[in-house]
Amino acid sequence: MGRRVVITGMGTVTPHADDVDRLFAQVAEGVSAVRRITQFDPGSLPAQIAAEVRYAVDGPDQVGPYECASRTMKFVTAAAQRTLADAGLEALDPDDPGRARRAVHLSSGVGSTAMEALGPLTLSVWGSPESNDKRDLAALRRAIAEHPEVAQPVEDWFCEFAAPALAVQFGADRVSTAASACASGSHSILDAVNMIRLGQADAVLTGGVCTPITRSMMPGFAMLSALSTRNDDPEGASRPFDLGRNGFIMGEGSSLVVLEELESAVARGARIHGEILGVGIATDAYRLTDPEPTGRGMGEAMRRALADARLTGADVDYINAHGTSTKLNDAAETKAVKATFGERAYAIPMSSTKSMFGHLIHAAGITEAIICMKSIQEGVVTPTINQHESDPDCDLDYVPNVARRQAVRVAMNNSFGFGGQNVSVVLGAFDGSLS
Amino acid sequence: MSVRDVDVVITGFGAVTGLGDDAAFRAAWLAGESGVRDFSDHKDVGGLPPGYGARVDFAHKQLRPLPGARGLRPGTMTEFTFLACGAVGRALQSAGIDNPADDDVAVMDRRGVYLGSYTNFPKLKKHTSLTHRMADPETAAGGTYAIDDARIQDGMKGFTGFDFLKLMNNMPTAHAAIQAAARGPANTMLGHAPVGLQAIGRAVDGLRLDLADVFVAGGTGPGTSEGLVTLRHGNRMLADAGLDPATAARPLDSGATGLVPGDGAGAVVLETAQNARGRGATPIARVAAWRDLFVAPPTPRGGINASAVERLLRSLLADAGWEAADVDYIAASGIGLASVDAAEAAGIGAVFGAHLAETVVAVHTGVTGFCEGGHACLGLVGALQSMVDGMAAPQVNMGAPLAGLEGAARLTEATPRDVKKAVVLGTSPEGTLVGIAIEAL
Repeated sequence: MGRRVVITGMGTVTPHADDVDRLFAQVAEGVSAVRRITQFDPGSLPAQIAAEVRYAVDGPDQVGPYECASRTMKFVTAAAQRTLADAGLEALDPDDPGRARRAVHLSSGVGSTAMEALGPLTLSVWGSPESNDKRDLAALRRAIAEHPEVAQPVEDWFCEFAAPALAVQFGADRVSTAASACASGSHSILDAVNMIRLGQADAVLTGGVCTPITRSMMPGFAMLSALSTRNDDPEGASRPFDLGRNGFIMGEGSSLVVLEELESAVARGARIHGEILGVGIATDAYRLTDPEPTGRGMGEAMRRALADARLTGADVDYINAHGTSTKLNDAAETKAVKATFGERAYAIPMSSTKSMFGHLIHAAGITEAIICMKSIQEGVVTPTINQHESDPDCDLDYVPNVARRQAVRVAMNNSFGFGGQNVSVVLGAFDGSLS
Repeated sequence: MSVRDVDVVITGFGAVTGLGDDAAFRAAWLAGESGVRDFSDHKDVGGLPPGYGARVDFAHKQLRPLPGARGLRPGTMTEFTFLACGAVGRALQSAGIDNPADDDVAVMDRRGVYLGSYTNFPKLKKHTSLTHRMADPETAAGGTYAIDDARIQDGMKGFTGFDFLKLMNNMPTAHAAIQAAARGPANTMLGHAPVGLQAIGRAVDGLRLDLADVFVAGGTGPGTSEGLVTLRHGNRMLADAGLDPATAARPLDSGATGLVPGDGAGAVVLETAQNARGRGATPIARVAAWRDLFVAPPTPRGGINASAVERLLRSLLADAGWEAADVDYIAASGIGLASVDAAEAAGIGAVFGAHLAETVVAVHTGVTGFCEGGHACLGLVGALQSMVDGMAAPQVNMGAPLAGLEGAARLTEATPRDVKKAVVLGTSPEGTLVGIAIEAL
C-alpha cells in the first residue's frame, strides 16, 4: 500500500455561498442559484441566465505581489483563505524548509474579459462602431505598438497569477496550473494525489477557479448549442437527465481543498474530513465537442478509479454525476454507469448538483467533490432538481427533486470535459486506521 | 496505487520551429543560422513590435504526412494546436509509432498525452472587432468607450461556436490525443517557457505511477502570434525594434534587449524501458530526474534569482545521483530577458564553476527566438540531437556571456562532442523553474 491521501481542508466561493456548510445546506434543500445574469445586460443573448456569485466576496485585495482585483483572483484567493483556515494551516515563510513539502496545483481558465481593455483604442483607430468600413487590423496593431499599456490586461485567459498567489498564501515551493476543460476540477485532485503518492509533497492546495460569465463566453457557448435558453424559468432551467433538458447553465466560482498524506496529517493533529480512495482518468480520443456516444472513456475512468481504490461497484453508495443537462452528455454518462456497475447501477443514487449551481467548468469537479465529502459526513444524498419527465435513455435513480437521508461510506465523483477528457474520483469516510 | 521503480526512456522526439521541423532546426543550428526574420509587413503581425521573429508559415498548415494526422483538420486548430500536433506527429514518427490508430485498444488505453502551453489564444482579430462593435455609439461620438450590452449579439456576427471552443486551453492536448490515439491520461499544463518540461516531468511521473506505458509529451508556443506578441509588448518584455533580426535574439548575452518572438513546439515519446523493449523501440536516453521550483518574484513578472536556479540545479543533480562534473551538456533556457537570464547565468555558474570550461552550454534562442511554452522543450530536443549526432551546436549570438558564464567553453561552430549526461533548464519571469536530467543510452 502506498501513501494514503486525506482531505484536511475545504473552502468555496460558489453561487450559493462562500462557506461549505451553507453551500451544502442549500443544495440539500434543492435550492437553485440560477438567475438572470446581472454582471451585464444579457437581453440580446440567447442564453440570459447563469449561476452567478451575487454577494460581496470577502477576501484579500493583495497577496504578495499579486493584486486580487479581478473576479478570478478575488474568488480563488478568498477560497484559499477559507480552505487554509479550515485545514488549520498557515503560510510558511519564504525561508522555511517546510515549503519544499508543500505544493499548489490549480485548474483555471476562461477568465477573460480582457479584450474589452482594447475598447478605447478600437474607437480611436476605427471610429464609430456603427461604421461598416473594414476594420483595419494593421492600423490597430500600430496603435497597440504606441500604447503597450492597453495590452497589459490581455493575459487572463488562463488566469496566470492565480496559482502563484495561492503559493504565496500557502507557502509552497511547487506550483502548477492545468486545464482539461470541464474535467479540470477533478483532474486537479488526481494530479495532487499523484504528487503525494510520489512523495513530491506532503500537502497540496488544489482545486479550480472559473469566471466564464462574460459578454463573449456566454454567446460563444450558446453558439455551440451547449447552453439552456430557458430564460423565462431560470431556476427550472438546469434539468440533468430529464427529458426536457436543453443545455447547461453557466456558473462561476472557486473551490479548493487541502490534500495531505495521511501520516503527516495525523502527526500535526489535523481534522480529517475524509479520504481520497481512488482516482481514474481516460481519454475518448474521439471528437473535440461530443462525448464518445457509448460512454467508453467515461466508463474507463470510473473503472480505473474503482480499481485504484481496490473497490468494486458494490462498494459505491452515491455518485455525483457530471450531469450537465445536455442531451449527449447525460445519455452517455448513463450508459457508462450501466456498463461500469451493471445491475447495481439502478440501485446507486446518482445526482447532479449542476441542477442547482450550474456548471462551474474548471471549478466544477472540485466543488462536486466537496459535495460528495459533505454527503459522506452528513449522511445526506443531494437531489437532482427539475426532474419532471423521464427520459427513456436516462433511467437510473437520479434522486429526483428531494434529498435523501442515507449513509454514504463511499462516493464517486464524475467529471467529463470537452475534448474527451474523463476523470473519476472515489472518496470515502476516513476509517481512523493508519494501515 | 504504489509507485513503480521503472526506468523511463525517450524513444522519439520531434519539433516544429520557424526554420522547419526538427531536422531543419538541427541543420540550421549546427550551421549557426538564425531563423529570425523581419515580419513588419506580415498580414497577421505586421505593425506590431519588434517587427521581427522566427515565424512558422501558418498560411500553409499541412500535417498530413505525419502519423495520426489524417484524422485532424487544421481549420479547427489554433496556432498553438497546429504546432503541438506537428511536434507530436514528428515525435511519434521518430519513435516508430506510424499508425497509432491501428494499434490494439489495449495499447491505446495505455498511451497518454501531456502538453504545456502558455494559453491557446493566438489571434485578436474577431475579438477586437467584437469589442468595437459592442461600443455604445452615443458615448463613442464623444470619444468615450462604453459597452452597450444590447449590441453584444450583433457583435458576434462572424463568429462560430467553434471559434470559442478551439480557444479552450486543453485543445492542443485534445487534438494530440486524437492524433496519437491516446486513450490513457491527457493533461494540459499552463505556464511560461518551462511549462513543456513540466508536462514532460508529469508524464514521467505518470509512467512511474503506472497510469500508462507510453506518453507523448512536450510544449507548444506560437510566440509570433498576434495575441502573444501583443501580450509581451504589453508586458514590456520584447526586444528593441530596429535591430538586425539575425543577431537580435541574444540568449545569456549582455547585449540582449528582450524577448525575440519565435514559433516552436517540441515533443518527446516517453515510455518504460520494458515497454520500449517489448515493441522493439530503440531508446535514445533515459530520464534520470526532473524537478520544478517556484519562487515568487518581487513583482508578478519580476524575474527569478540566482539562488533559486542554483537550488533547482542542485536538487536535480542530487535526484539524478550526479555530481556537477558528471554533466557534459547544459541546455540553458536563455530566453533573452535580463531579469531572467542574469539569474540563470549566475545560477549555472555557481553550480558548475570551473567545469563550465569542459562542458557544453547550449542555448537555441539565437536560432529559434523565444517560443513560449515550447521553448524549453526545444532545448531538450537539441540535447537529444547532440546525443544522437555527437555534435555540439554553436552558441548563436552569445558573444558576451553574462556573469557566471565567463568561463564557459565558447562554441562558435559545430563541434564533435560525446554527450552522455545532460541537464535541460526552463526559466520564466513569473518565478517557475523546471529542470530535467537525461542520460544517453
